[in-house]
Amino acid sequence: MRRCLYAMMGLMLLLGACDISKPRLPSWDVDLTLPLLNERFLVSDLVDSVNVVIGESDVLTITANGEASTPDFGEVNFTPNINVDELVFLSGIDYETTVPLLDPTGSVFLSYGQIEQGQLSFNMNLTDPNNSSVTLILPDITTPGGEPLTLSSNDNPNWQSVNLEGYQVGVEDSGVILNDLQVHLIISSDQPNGTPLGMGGIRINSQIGCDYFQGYLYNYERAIAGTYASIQIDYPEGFEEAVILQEAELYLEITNEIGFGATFHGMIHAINEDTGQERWVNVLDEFGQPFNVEPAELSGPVITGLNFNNGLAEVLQIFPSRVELVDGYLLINGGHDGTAGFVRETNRMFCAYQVDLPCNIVITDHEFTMPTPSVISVSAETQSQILNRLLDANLTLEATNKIPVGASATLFVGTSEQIDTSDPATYSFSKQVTLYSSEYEGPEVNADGEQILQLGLNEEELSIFGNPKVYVLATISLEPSLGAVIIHASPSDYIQIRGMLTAKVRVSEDLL
Amino acid sequence: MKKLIFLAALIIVCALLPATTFTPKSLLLADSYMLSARGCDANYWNPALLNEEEGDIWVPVLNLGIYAGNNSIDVNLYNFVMRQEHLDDADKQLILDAIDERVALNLGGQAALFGFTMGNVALSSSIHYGAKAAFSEKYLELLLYGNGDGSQVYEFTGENNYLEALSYLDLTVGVGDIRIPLPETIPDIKFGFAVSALGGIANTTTHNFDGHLSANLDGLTVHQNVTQLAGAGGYGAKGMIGLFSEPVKNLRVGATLDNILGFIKWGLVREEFSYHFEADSLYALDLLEGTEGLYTSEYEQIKADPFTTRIPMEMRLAAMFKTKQVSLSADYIQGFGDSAEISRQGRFALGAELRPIPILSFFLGYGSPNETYPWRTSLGLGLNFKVIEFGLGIQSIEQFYPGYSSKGIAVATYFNIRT
Repeated sequence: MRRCLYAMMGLMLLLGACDISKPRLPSWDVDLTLPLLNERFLVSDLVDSVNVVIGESDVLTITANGEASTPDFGEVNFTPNINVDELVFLSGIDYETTVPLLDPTGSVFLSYGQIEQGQLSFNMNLTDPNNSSVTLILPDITTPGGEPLTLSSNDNPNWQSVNLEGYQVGVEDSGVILNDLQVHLIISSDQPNGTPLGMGGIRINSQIGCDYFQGYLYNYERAIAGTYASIQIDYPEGFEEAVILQEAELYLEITNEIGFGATFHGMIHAINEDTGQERWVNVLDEFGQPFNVEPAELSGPVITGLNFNNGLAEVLQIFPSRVELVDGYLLINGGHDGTAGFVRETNRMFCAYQVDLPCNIVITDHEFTMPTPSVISVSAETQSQILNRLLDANLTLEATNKIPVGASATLFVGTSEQIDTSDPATYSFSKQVTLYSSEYEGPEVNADGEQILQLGLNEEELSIFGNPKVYVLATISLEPSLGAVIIHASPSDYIQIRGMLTAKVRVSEDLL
Repeated sequence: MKKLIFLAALIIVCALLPATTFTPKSLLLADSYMLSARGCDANYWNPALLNEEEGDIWVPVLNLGIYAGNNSIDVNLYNFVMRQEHLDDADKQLILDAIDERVALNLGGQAALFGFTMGNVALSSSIHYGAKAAFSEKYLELLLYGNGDGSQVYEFTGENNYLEALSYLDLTVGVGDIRIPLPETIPDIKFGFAVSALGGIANTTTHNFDGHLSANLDGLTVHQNVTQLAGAGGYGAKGMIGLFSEPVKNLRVGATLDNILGFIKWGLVREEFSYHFEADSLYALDLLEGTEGLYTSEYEQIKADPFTTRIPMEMRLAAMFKTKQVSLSADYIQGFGDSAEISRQGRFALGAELRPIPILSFFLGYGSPNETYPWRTSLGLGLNFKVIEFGLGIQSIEQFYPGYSSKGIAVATYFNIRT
């Protein structure tokens, strides 16, 4: 029995002799892959419908709009300089004569006008005004009711004035230029026929202003003034050196209320307010001539569309922030397609213009550098996690570039704000990634157009992020194009990027 | 956290995978017990033998067996991991090499409530409880290595991920020592049978488990569906028949078929817990704008229809050579279904009882493995007096003796009064 008990005790001791460690967790490293992003960056997302639009054939187009107009056309003025002082009145002899109605400057040829301002002076100096009378009729000048202007001697030997406001000159819509005013003289007296009764005269030598005018105008200028067009796009510094514009277009839409054909004169002025560069170009057609503006019709205004691109690309090459139409004016030379033109005082000409820069470009080898480094603030907790847990990190991006533009970006990372990309002593490390254009053919891009971009950081590089502040300066180099490339903005023009972050992380008990 | 680790380690290290019917004394022979069982024990092993020798009475509480184990990790491995400051790739591989597809945990036991024999009839009652759970090796691989470079897609199925538990009590009546009338030229064959009324206490089973994880340039995709059935309060029954013969002196053979029409129908409490999570092509930057609409997470608890737990039939064939000092036995166990306790894959159990003096018994056993049942050895000591017998034993899983390499243990005590 005792032996049995010894055996059982021995068995219990055997069981109790197991040395089992206290539970504790060692550390170990795991490789974690975290899908980070899957974004499709459509070119059309750049469209803001203000300065970036989708143009013809879905071409991405930078655009700017502006407006300009003439002021109210105002009165058509001319000073005829009619000075007829030797009209002889003979008893019983009526007669007709003419006086020239010419603009001495040769600018205005009137066919019909509604006079807004003007004055006619006449004089009838009769020797026996009590027994004689003279009536002077000007049939070309009529009242609004159509009655010709009739002047009588009225026993007044002095020069008298007639305010012509409200009178009409000529026959409306006749199309006939009124070179002379007809003058009818009706003379009556108790004297024998042929007896001189006196003398008189007519003068229109002050300015005649018509608020409605039909006729021809020559070398008649009307200034155009308007607003400027802003282009609010933040181009990278030096962008104008990296990209050469291949085309640019100016669209002018001129709404003309004036019944005269005209030529449009003006300049496009482009200003890059960041660089201070300015350029100008005259708005001329392909033959170097000013554009013609169609006259209005009697039924209403006529719109003339003008396209201008001659030399414009060179002007807009500075990638202006502001585009404006300057020194603009309309020059009228003639009438309305060979007939008399017409204009009312309040008529204007409106000009809406649009400057388009289709993204038809040649890309040159140029490097952009951020003006200042970006600052990344790293919290103490994050610093600790990075230093103690993160052993390496690798960002894998799969990019599908459907755009004929490629680029390489280099990131310079350091702990000092003074990063000089040419001096490795000023930064801790640099990393470069290259995104090839859709035109690129090479082993880096597979048959589906996918390219893998890797951005890896080892433990030493990650330790930089153990500092409270980390500075990152980026430089970007566009991939030079072999020729002109056109950037479209259709749904099939995009850069698709899928990315995942793979990191080796140290797991330890205090993490759990 | 340390408590959790300790608890997990305790379950993992101090356990085994018996996955079969047992009574406390059978543990001492690694379940090669069909022809050794007598009295109340025979109600569960071979009713034909319940009156083979004298009758007995089970003493409650002192007839107790418990087991706990796992299929993968032993004390050595546990100590190794806990003593490392840092696990390198070789250490991780050592851990994973110890695992075969899944980390499976088992826990269970049997406790006698009462039992006695009267003539060739035995009446007994006991409580059975067992639980098993498993998680895929891939989870541990994820924990140790992470998801790597994202090239691997992880699939999880119910085959390697489950939680099942079953507890019930039985009231068993057995009748044995029935001689089958045969010609005299044929050795005597005794027949016995036992009928058990089963009272289901609680049950849970993983009805569905499927999961998917991938994290690469296509995004993070996580799918997880789990349906767990739970029931409490049920009833059932099972039957057992047994045959015994001694065709040659000292050589005994027997056969049993257990769990005939075995079932437990759960009806009092029955719940179905479903969890569904789905996130497709998720990217971290998407989360910056909020999580709404990025994933689906649904938990549902519904009252399930009454369901039945079938207890698969199990056949045993055994032979034993017995002398006064030595008993050597061999059992073959073949299940006809899979459950928390039974496997379709056959296995062997070998047992030996050495009696150098009549009052002292040493027990040795060996159980061969199958896909859910690791091999084990057993060692026990018993004292046999005229009126009482008692003893205790221990099993070691996948190790010849209990030690650092054991993947689990079972302990049992028995205490019977002879009548």
